[in-house]
Amino acid sequence: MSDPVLQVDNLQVRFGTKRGVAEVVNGISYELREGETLAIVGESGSGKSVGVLALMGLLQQPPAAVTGSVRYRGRELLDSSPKAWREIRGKGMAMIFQDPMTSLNPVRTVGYQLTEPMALHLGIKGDEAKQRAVELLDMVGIPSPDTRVSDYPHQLSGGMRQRVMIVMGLACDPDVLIADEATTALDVTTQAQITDLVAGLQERIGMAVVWITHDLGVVASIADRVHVMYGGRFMEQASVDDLYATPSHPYTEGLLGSLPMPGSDRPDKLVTIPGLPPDPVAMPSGCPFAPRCSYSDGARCTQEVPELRVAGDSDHATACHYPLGVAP
Amino acid sequence: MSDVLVEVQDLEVHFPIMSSGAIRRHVNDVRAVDGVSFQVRRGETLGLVGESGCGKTTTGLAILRLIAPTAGLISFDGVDMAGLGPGELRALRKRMAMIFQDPYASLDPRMSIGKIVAEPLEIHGLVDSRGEKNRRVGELLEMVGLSPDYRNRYPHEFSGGQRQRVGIARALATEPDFIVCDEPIAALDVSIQAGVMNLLEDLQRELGLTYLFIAHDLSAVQHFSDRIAVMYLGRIVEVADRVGLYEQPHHPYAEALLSAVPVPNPVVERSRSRIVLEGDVPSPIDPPTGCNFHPRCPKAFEPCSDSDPVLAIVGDHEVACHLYPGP
Repeated sequence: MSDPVLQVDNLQVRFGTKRGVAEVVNGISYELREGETLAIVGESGSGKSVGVLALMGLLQQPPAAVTGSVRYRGRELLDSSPKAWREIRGKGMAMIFQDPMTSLNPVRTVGYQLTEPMALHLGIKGDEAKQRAVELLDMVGIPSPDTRVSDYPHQLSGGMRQRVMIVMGLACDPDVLIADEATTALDVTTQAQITDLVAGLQERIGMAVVWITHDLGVVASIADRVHVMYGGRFMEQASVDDLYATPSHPYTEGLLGSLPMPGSDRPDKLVTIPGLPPDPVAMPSGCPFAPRCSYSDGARCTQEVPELRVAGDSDHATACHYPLGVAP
Repeated sequence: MSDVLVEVQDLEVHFPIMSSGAIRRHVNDVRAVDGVSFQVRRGETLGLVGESGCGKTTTGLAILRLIAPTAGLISFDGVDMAGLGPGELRALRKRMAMIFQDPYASLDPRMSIGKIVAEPLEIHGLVDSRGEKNRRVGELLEMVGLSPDYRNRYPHEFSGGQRQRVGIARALATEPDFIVCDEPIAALDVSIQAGVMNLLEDLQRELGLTYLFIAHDLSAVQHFSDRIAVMYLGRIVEVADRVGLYEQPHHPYAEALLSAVPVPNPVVERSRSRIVLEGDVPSPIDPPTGCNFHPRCPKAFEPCSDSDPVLAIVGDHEVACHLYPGP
C-alpha cells in the first residue's frame, strides 16, 4: 500500500471565549491515501468544519489553539511558515467551502479568481490560463462559460457560484481536496453532477478527498471510509459498507434510524435522538454522547471517556464502552 | 361534503419586471408558477417537490393568498377564494395556516414564545379572557412537546428544533383544517428532523389535518406524503401516490430527480444507475417553447419543442409528457 498523503494525529482545537475554553476538536487522528475518499459525518457543532480548517492552517491563533500533528507527504504542517503554507494550499491541498456567498471575492471576476492559483502554482498565465478557466467552468456545466468567465460573483445564481467554488478547488489538480458541505446548498440533480465530476477527477489524477457532510445519503454514494464525529471526537470509523450494515455506536445507529428511506414501506416512526448536542464550553465528562444515549449506564459512561477501539482485526473502530452487537 | 379540501386550477403567478429609468414600463414577467392544477384531499398529505426556483413555495403562498395569483382558480372547501372580500377572507384564513422554512427568521425576536403563539388567537378573537388565552397557549405548547413554562422566554433561547415547534404551535392556534408546510425540516439537523416529522405526523392523526408538504428533500417527502406532485419550472410534471412515484416514475424529469437522490445505503448506491441531467434549469423569464423540460430531457423527440404537453391520466399517475399521450 502507498504511503498516506495526509496524516492527522491527535488534532485538538480549542478556543478561548468569554464563557471559558471551548473544546471544539478533541483529539482526532486519521490517514488518507491516494485516490481515497474519506467522509467525516456529523451534525452542526460537532467540530467537523473546524477540524479541517485547522489542517489547512486557516484558523487564526489566537483565539484558536491548535495542537497535534498534521503531515502532508511526511512534512509537518502545523508549525509551517506562511510561505510554506501558500505553496501547499491550492496545489497540495485545496478546500471547497460551504458558503459561496462569503468565500468568493465580490470585486474580482470569476476568471480572475480561477486563474490566480494557476499563475501561482502552475505558472499558467494570460490567455492559456483563461482558456483553462473556461474549460473548468464548462466541466461543471455552467452554460456559456466563455462569457461567464468575465462575470462577477453577484451575476451568478447560487448554484453557479457553488460550482465556481468547486472548480477553484480543482483548478490546480490538488493531491488532497477537502470539501466542507460542498454540495449541501445545491439541488440533488446538481449535486449528482458534482459528485460525478469529483469521482472522475479522482480516477484521473488520484486525488484524495475528505468529504465533510451531514448527509448520510451522499456519504453512501461517494465514500470509501466514514468517520462519525460528535462532540469533537470520532465516535465510530469504518468502511462505508460496515458502517451502514453494522453500526456499532449508539449515535451512528440513531443517525441511521432517523433517516427516511426512500422506497421503503413507511415505518410507523422515525427514530429520534432526544436532547441536544453538547456545549463545547461545558463538555460532559465521560462520553460526549452519554447524556442523549439510551444505552448509557449512568456511571462509567458519564465518567470515563471511551477510547476508539478496533473490533477484532477489521478496521472498524468504535468509541463506546458498550458497542452494539458485541456481547458485554 | 366533498373529499377535496383544496382545489387549484390553472394557477399562474407572474411577477412583472419593470424597465429602469423615469418611466417604468412593464417589459417582461418572471413566470414563477405557470399553469398549475392539483387537488388536496381531506386528511391527506400532498407532497410538492422540485428544485429551487421551480415555484413550489410561490404555489403554497398563493393558495393561502399571501400573494395574489395572476390567473387561475383556488377553492377552499368549495369556496372560490378570489371572490371573497377582506372580512370573508380573514374568516376563511382561520382554517388554514403555514409553517415556514426558517425557524430563525419566522419568529419575531422581540416577542415572547407565549405572545407569538397567542397572536393568532387574538387576531381571530378566539379567546375571551386572559385566563383562557393563557390556558390555550399552554395547551398548544404542550401539544408540540414544549413545556408551558417556556411561554415567557424569547426565541433566541431555543434551539432550531424547538423554534420550529413554536412555529408549529402558532400554526395550530386557530385549529386549522389545512396547513402548508414549507420546507419545515430543511434548516434542522438530521437527528432533530426526525422529531419534527414525527410530531407533524402525530398531529395529523390526532387533529385530522390536511397538509401540503413542500420540500426539495425527496426522501422526506416520500416518507411523509400520501401523494406527491413533482414540479419543474412553474409546472407540475407528474402526480402519483408515494409508492407509485418511487417505483415507477413516468415523467423523464421525475425519473432523473429520483435517481439523483442518494440513498443512505452503500450497497444500493453502487448497484443503481444515475441519470445525470445536463445543464441548468432554464430561466422562468424566458422558458423554452413546448415542453419546458425538453432542452434537458434525455428522451426528447419531435413534438416536445413545439407543443406543450398537458397533465393526462396514465394509469394511477397524472403525467404531462408527450411520451404518455393519455387515454
